[in-house]
Amino acid sequence: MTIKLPAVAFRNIFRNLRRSILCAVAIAVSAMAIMALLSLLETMETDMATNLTSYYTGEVRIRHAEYEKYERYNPLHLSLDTEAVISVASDVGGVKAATARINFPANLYIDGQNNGAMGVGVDFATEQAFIDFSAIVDEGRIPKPGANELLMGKFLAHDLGLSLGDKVTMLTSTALRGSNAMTFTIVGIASFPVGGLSAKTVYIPIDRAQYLLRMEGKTQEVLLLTEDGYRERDVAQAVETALEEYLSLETETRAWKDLNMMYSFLSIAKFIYYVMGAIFFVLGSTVIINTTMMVIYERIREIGTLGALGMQGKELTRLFLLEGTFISIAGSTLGTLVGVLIVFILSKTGINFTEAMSGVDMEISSILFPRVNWFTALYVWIYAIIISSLSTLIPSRKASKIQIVEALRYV
Amino acid sequence: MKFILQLAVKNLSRYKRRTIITAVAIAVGLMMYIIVDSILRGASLESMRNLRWYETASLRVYAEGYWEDRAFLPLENSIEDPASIMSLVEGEQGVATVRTTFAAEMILYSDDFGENGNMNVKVTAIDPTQDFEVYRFEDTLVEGRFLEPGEMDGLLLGSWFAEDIGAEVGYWVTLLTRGKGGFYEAFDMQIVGIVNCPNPNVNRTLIMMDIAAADTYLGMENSVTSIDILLPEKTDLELAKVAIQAKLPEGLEVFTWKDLAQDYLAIVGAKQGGTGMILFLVFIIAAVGVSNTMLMAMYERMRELGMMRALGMRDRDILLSFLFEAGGIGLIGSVVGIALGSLVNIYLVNTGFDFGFMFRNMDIGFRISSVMRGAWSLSTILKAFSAGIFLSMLVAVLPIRRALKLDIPTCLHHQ
Amino acid sequence: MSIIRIEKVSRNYKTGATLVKALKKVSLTIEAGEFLSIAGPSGSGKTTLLNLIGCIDELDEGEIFINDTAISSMDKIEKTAFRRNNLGFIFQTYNLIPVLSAYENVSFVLSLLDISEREIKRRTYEVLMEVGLEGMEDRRPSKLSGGQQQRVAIARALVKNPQIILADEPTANLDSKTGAEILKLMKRMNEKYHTTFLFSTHDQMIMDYASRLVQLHDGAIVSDERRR
Repeated sequence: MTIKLPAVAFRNIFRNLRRSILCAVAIAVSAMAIMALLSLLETMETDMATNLTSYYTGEVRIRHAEYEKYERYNPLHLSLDTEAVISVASDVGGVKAATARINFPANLYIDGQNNGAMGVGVDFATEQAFIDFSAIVDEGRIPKPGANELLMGKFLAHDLGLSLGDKVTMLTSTALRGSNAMTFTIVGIASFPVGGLSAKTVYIPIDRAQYLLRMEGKTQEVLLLTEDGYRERDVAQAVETALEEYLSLETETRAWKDLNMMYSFLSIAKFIYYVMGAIFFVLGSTVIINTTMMVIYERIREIGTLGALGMQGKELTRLFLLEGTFISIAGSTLGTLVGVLIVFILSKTGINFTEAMSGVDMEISSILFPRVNWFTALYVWIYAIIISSLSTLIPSRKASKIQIVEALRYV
Repeated sequence: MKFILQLAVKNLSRYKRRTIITAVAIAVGLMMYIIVDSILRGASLESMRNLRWYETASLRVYAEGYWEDRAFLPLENSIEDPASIMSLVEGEQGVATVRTTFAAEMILYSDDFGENGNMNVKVTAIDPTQDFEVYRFEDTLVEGRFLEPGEMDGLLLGSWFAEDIGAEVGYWVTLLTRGKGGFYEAFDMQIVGIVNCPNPNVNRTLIMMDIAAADTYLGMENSVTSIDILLPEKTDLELAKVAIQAKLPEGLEVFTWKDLAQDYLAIVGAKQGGTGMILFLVFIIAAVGVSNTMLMAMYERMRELGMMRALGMRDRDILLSFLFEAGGIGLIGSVVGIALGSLVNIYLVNTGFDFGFMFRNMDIGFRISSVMRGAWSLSTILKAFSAGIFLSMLVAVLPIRRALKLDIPTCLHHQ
Repeated sequence: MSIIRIEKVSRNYKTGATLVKALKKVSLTIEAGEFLSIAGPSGSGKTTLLNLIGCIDELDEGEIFINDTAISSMDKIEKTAFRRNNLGFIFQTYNLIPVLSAYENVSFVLSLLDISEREIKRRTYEVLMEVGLEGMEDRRPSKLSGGQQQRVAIARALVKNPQIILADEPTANLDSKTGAEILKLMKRMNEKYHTTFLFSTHDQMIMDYASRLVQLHDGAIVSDERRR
């Protein structure tokens, strides 16, 4: 049985193992770096998406049509009819869950001093679909509906020197533009993944919030989760239409991706990293180009011999190209796997961003746990192989153009 | 020695393509280093300037206990006799001004704003004459006028803040807060001016009023929450801090701008760490490239190597020759990399990137509001230059020494 | 006076698990000015012997004396210096540095010694003329024929007036006519400067030219003929 070209190419790699290894290593380093970078970015993206949809905007957010215009004013009077909106929205195809929230700036009156905080009135029952409170409550429990109880962020409690069982009076402006105050008991302390939330927020039952803010039956926003397989934008559109139709209500109903600028920033960052990835690979490929050229030079007599025996041109190119491809595959596989390993290790230890995040207002968790995404790994793997292999194309083609008689003359 | 150098130079032209490719890898790596460094440096310079001119000044004096609770802007921990402290400070070649910062709820009315609203804000009460000695708001007025000393109901807003809430000169608002002592105060204020401050963090939140007015409304009894000090640029702030701290009576603490801008420093640190890693990886790849090139050169010239050794050339001289060759590749890479990097830098420094659309709505830590510019750094260029050369030489050492350990006949009969 | 004394010299190599005895207790005395050929089939040990004399290999048994100095007593640095000052090499594959001109290839060995630039220039031009390459000093090896390249190599070996020149198959890559010319040249140099020439070869022509022919077989001397 005659030996096939790929087999020859494969064996040739072992002729100068050191050189082949050096090449493979260069590619591996590039692949590993890209894998790690992309994984990190992806993790940040996913993390941000989770945080946004859980704690901030849900997957679709419904608000009063005019709310955004006056958002800074905290226009609580621009509110929605809780029951009506939730009922209509929930009936729309693709809506999995709905909850009502009221966000309001509050002052916590302690020892004669006002301390600013962010109050959030929620229906803890329907919130379960959005925020897994049981996972984030460190001490105590979730407030009960109808009770003057609150859940406080861990850092806020720490800064104010408060603990479970303490009472705190909340002052706020109401939807009627007056002031109101109510005293709450701290029944739970929670650690949010986003540091900022732990430092600023206080959760109370929505019915108490409605009472405090003079918003009986109303809510500031209704958040929705969509079923798998439905596009958020489509659902948002459908809900907006439904609300108009059934309630003659004009609202601002939008999908979460359209609501947050930080998220699009992340996409730009990703693009930049892709470009850098390409540069990395090009760099790594320079090594393999050099090596292929060297290999050809070294085996020039052999090339002449092969040519004399009838192998030429395309076949010769194929031979060297295959060798380059095999090395690329080895390097890419090694690098991708090492990259995956790094991500795996980080997924257990987590990357601590608390320091860097301390001053920045981003909806990214303080501690990130990257997850291994095999699609990304596959993508990096293929990308590395293609680019590295292509780099061997030019020197390989040169090999095919060498004159046999010249080649045989070489020592 | 001269011969060795000449030999190295001539050998560079032996494999032009390989040398060029390797040099290109080095060049790209160095170019990236220069560009990234330039951007970060430029952002740093601008941020530090904007911090110093509009946000932190050089040093700040707080009363004891203020710092720990600074997030809540406690009026109780205030400085009692600011006038005497001021004279102490001025002796140190600095200029100082008093400020009182407090939290309040700002209430908006539909007559002016079109809708009723309220929001938690931070108000900075200043001495309208003295403040300009320390901060540079003097050049930033875009609408209306500055505050007058003793003005009881004038407010100055940052332009982004005004834009965000739709405020115009002439609008009225009510500030609701607790004074020192805990009693509630509400006072109506009119917007008399808008300043466009290049520091985005300030521009987004700035509300200024007259300090005498604040003193009255809040019952400060001549106390203030901070004394802000500006020192000449090249001053060693740590030394100045210690010097001033020593002069101050008990119960007062001095902080430098670095203490005040920890969020900024954290971001810079993180960015530098991240880019450092990326550059490190780029260098590794370039290093692998050089090493590979030298290895190949060596294996190709094994017989030549044997010949030189047989003819009595010292191992040390042979090593030097190869090192110079590697250094030569590095040199080419360095020169090209620096040239390209500098070209790009010309654009970065003079034109820069307008990220205004991004900075407007996001706080990324850097104090830049619109254009992100690069900055020249001779030390970076020099570092890049020498790194390119020395790294190449370093990386070539091992393979060459390996070859020199082989015995001569093996070299001579190498295929 | 014998310039080279080889006394019961053995050299062994390990290839994998097998021990190859390249030289077996070989003894030989060589006088200054000899034009000597060491002949034998492949694997007979002739190249090994040359390498040992040239101080570029280590012996396992016995001793070699050059000018009454035992080469085993010299350390690496001394050997290098010794080669630099006293030995010339000519290789089968010329081993010229391709990026240097003929002039530079020859002069560089002189620059390893402590000689003035002017002296280097004089001697290089002189020796290049001697070997018949006048006018081609600036050419690079790629622009020289095989014969011309070997002449450059000879010039390089000669230019420092060494006591001994070791040539390993110097004519193997040349056609017979050129080979003959090269040999005549070396013979001329030998007669003019009394440089000792040692050839390792199985080229009949060289063997004919040699004034003494030593035959090796399987690591041992089987004959030692003096002619003329």
